Amino acid sequence: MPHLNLSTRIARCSTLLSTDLDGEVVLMSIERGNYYGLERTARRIWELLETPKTVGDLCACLGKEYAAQRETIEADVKKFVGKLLEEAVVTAL
Amino acid sequence: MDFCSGWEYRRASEKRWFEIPILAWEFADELAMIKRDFANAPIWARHLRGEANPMAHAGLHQLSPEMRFLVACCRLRPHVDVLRAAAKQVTSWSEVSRLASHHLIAPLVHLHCVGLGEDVIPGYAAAALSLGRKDAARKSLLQQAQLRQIAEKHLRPRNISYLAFKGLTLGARYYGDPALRQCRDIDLLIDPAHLYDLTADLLGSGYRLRSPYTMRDEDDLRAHCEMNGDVGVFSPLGVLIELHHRLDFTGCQYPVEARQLFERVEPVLLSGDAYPALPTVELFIYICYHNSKHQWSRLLWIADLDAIISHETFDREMVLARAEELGLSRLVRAALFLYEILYSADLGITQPAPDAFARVLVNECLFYLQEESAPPEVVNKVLGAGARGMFELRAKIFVYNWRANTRWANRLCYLLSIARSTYADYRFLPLPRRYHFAYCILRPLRWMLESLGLKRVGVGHSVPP
Repeated sequence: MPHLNLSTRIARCSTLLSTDLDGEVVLMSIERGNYYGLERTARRIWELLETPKTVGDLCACLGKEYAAQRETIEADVKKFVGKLLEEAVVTAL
Repeated sequence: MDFCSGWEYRRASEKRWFEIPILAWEFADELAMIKRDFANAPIWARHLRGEANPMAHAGLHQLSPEMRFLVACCRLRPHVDVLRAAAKQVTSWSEVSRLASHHLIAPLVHLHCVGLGEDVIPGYAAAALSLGRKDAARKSLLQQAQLRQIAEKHLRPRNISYLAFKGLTLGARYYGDPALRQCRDIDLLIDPAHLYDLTADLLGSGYRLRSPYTMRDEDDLRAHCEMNGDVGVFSPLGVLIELHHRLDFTGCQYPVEARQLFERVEPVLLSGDAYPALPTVELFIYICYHNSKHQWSRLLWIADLDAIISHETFDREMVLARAEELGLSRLVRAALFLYEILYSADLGITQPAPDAFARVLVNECLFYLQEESAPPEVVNKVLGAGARGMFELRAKIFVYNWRANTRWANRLCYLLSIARSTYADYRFLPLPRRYHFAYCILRPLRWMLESLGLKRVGVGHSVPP
């Protein structure tokens, strides 16, 4: 997994295509030929990434919206964003 | 360049010389059947006289409750009360989801069903429709990715004029979401001067021709591009792209040249990229022309009708004025009448049919919707239908084109276009361009050999849309 810290700036991959479904965002990567479905919190993170943000900013936004410990949110966000980076769904600026 | 990208077409049963008497007898039998049909005044003859199709249903109330519900769902913003009332009449929800899938409107039906609530739609039907919507969304994304790739790698670098019509851009602009409108392929109108170069470029990049033939050489490919109505190619991702050099192959029924349309394109945003598309007036008239040709037999086309009419850029008077100019006002009025008949409960209007053409169109539409069968021209093109079927098909298309157009110049142009050489003629006997006039004389021979099963040279087509 790529190294991530709170100051790492993340942006959506520009070549990715997305569409909104009922409660779900479907993404498609033509380079990899893969589809990705994002629901609930994952969908919210994707929405927040409409403009590039640092991992810290993402955690702060989610902290306001979800009742969870800051440490838990940071650990989960890093893990999820790491997966998105691996799949080239987002890029680290 | 790889010209061997198609697959060789072979008839399953090759005929031998000693079978010719039997085949001749079969052909004579076919002719006798055509003669009997003349005597019994077939549908196309009634169509010619403007009579209603005797097989057709008299009105919307003759449709099954499931089909009536689906027709109500074809509106982008239906009246909830109308939709709820139609839903209460439904007896088989599995039939609803099956028909929604068949008519390519599963995403739209699911959207409306979610709004109606679980007390109206059973869970299993909602789940099936949701699955259909997800499939459609994935396919739409793939098609969007494909369109982007073609535009970025093949069209813009070569400065080729093009526009996208129907399909994705229609969904994006008029439905507000391309994933709500299912489409089987990507339709592109290409500058005729660049069609061959583009096709060759695509084949060199791993695309495959949809044509059932193996291209013999460059001349063959050039003839394929110039003489066919469109060139179908499958991308390496398996997406079908239809490259058209004009919106109507005859060039008389929709008498607008591609170059004129390129000057009037309007940008449509799709996944952040702008693509040139037809202005609403031209698109609506083209949709009326294309869908009426297929008797509006897919609910998707009815949904298109509503989506465009409901859009802010739709101006009825402007559309009618332009249709009058093109000689297609009868066709457009008939389509508007069909829309009013289908949604009279929503729209609160009941108007008499403007003419017999409109009455026939409505009857045929309701008939094919209810019967859930493809119109004869589709079946014949796909499956092949022997001499009798082909005769009926040609007669039906001729009568439709003749009646749809009100300008004599266009009608005469259409008559002349029948004599124009086609790619099927070229496959039958490849001749240099300067001798193409000879195909007029050779064509009856080709038809005869085809009907006898001795030589198959027709061009493959897929089921619309």
